[in-house]
Amino acid sequence: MQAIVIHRILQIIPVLIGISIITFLLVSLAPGDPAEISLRAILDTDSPSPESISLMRAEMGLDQPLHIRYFIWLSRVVQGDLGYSYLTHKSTVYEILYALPTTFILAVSAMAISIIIGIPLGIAAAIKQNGILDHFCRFFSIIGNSTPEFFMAIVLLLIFSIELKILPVAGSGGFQYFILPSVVLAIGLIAITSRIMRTSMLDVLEENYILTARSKGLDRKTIISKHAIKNAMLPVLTYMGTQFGWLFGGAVIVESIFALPGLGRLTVDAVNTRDIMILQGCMITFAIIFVVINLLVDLSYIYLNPAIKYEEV
Amino acid sequence: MIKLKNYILLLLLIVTAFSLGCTGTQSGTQSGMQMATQQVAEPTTLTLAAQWEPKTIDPHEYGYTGHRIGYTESLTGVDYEGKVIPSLATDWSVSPDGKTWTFNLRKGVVFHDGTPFTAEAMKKSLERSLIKSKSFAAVPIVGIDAADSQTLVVRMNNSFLLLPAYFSKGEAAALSSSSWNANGTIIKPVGTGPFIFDSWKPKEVVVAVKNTKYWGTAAHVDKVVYRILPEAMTRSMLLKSGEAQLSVILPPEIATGYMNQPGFTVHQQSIPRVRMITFNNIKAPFNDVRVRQAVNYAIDRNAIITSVLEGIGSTGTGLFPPDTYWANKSITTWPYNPEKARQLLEEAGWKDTNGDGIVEKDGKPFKVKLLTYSERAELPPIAEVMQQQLKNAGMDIEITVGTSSATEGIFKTGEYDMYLVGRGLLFTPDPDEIMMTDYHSSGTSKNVYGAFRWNNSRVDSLIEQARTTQDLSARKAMYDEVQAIVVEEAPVAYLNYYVNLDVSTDKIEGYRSHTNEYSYHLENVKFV
Repeated sequence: MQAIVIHRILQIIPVLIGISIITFLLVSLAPGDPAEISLRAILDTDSPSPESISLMRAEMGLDQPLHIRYFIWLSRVVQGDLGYSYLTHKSTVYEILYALPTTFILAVSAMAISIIIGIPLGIAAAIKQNGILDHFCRFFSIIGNSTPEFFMAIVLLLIFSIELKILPVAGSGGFQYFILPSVVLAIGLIAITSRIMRTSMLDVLEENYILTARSKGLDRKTIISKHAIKNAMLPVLTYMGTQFGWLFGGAVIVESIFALPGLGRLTVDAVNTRDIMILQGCMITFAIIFVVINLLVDLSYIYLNPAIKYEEV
Repeated sequence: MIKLKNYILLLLLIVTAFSLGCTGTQSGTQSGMQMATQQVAEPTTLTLAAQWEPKTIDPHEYGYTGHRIGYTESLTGVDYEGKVIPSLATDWSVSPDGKTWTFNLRKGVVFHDGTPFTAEAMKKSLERSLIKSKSFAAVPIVGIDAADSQTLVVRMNNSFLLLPAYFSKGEAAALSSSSWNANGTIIKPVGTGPFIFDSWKPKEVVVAVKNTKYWGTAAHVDKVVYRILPEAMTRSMLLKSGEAQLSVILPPEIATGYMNQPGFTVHQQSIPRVRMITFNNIKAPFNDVRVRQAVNYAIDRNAIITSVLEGIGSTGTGLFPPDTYWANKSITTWPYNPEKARQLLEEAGWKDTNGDGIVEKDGKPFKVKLLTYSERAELPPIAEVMQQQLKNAGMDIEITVGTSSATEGIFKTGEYDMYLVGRGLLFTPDPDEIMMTDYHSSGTSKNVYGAFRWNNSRVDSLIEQARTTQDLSARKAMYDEVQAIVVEEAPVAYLNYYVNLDVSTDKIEGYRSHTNEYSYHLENVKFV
């Protein structure tokens, strides 16, 4: 068990190195001279003078060859120095830590809502295949999955904030401000989660060990709760793991509509203003979140299905 | 199956608890809202929604927010027409050589911390601003002196008549020295405006309260909540829910929805930003003035506004929008006249000889390249409408749309014929900058968005003369003539002006859109 955990953790290292190179290259090779773009924002002019551009290039270290720039950059990153935003003059780490809790709350609540609703819905749909609930579930999934977040947000805002006036439109003053955004994010997740759960459940219910259990005389309730659900959870867990990562970056639209100062908005703002240090920081943060979540998903497999342990070693 | 039922029950319970929770917490905010709107005798809170986000609360680095909300002021201000007017300075004068400026400061002004606003305080504030702000890099200031408590003298390296215009900027705000700590880092902005800065939550909100000791007319509302909402749809929702009384800068498709709706007022204001075509004036066919004029006749500017801009905007006349101070109001829009366009083309040697609808010269068809970029979403559709219009007059244009940095790369090589751009005009509230970069030969010889590679000696001498003229109306007359020449010679073609659309609810009155969003003048706004 321990060996697997260590093995998994070691696997992360090359992934992180790869990420660091890609992050560095993406931003370095993006079109446009970052020095000129920064100066345009700073000086509020369309055409900064060539002298100021060359000064800025030197200040930003852009006159060094690419590989040297990478190592200078990497050594700083490893020490936790991700540079400063040229707009706010605050450190990238500060900006990211400021934005992270909002997105974290949003992602966790969206995930929680989708688990609470999506998984039982999927199980119920599978148990009563082609029943009323199953049809409802299918209908809901199609609607939920094909409605863009933007539209869903507006519909919910019109209902709950404009007509019923029970929820605020936007902002981040407290718990009630997170309800609509997390529901909007959760709806798409519920749609897929419940479908995957249903399919997976139907597969599992046809497995030999379920037949064995049934022939052994176990009642249906025990079979489903003790044997089927746990095994059927694996693909759902994989899906939710990756989705959780996506929620951090994919919350961009929702964060903009509901004016939440999260990581998604920070990233988009950084792209729009070419705030390169912030952009790099965000990309690295996303990458780390993805890697960590994948690790957790992998480790949870071991808990859910101990058989995996023997296959791996 | 019992378990499933239990589960559903539990789920229902959670949902109920959740919704109860919402209504419970919500009642608090709602009563706050009602308080703001109903009981006028109680403290009133004006909430406005805007997309602009201060990246820092230091006005000397980013000055717009302070001026817009009204917790900072500068020596000079900008009126609704975009003209520089007195603010903290009552009047100013310059020495004959243009190098020494004297500002007489307003008497009886106090900072929000109670300290008096004096020349000495303004000197300290401006000196910090010159270090902190990048806006004054082009201003040749040598030194600032407080001649007496109400007289500020600014010495320049060379003649510089734009100083009052520069001093109107938010970055030149008068701040009390209690605004920053020993290291010069901002603590909070302590200014002189009708509102006092209260708090800031990055990306969310700036709060200011009424300044009862304001030197001018005191504000009507007790508190201003400036909410930062990047999404226009959300700003619109806030109006509908009653959480905000004013939403600034809504896109036409949203704002037009409010136009005939009772309970809302749409404020429409053209801003100093023009959509225009800049011709490649050194390359055939646009090196011929008649061809450039033909394009002007061939464009149906009204059709562009109705078909692409939702009917919002006024057709282009001269460089500046007609309702701003610096516009030459006698210039009229080029009339739409495809016949006249064909006639001018024929005079220039372009005639449709093979009957395909496109004119030719020396056997070569009229085919030109139009560049534009996608960051300003309305530009590509405008290009398409023009493509059709020019085709009707016998001109074939090929459209290239890219990102602004990509099209700018092409533009710099000169491998284009027409460039459709949106051009900001008055970053500093004085025409000198845009005239120098875009129309004076020293600027047009470089790669700028103005009259590319075009020069006119009369225009050059007028712009130079305006630089050394102190009398405002005399200067305006010179710029008027420049604008008239540019329209006639047509090195560029002005299509229309950008328009800001703000929407307010009937709960408030007294708001007016400012042409360059210099200030929202919230001190004039009151609840009805």
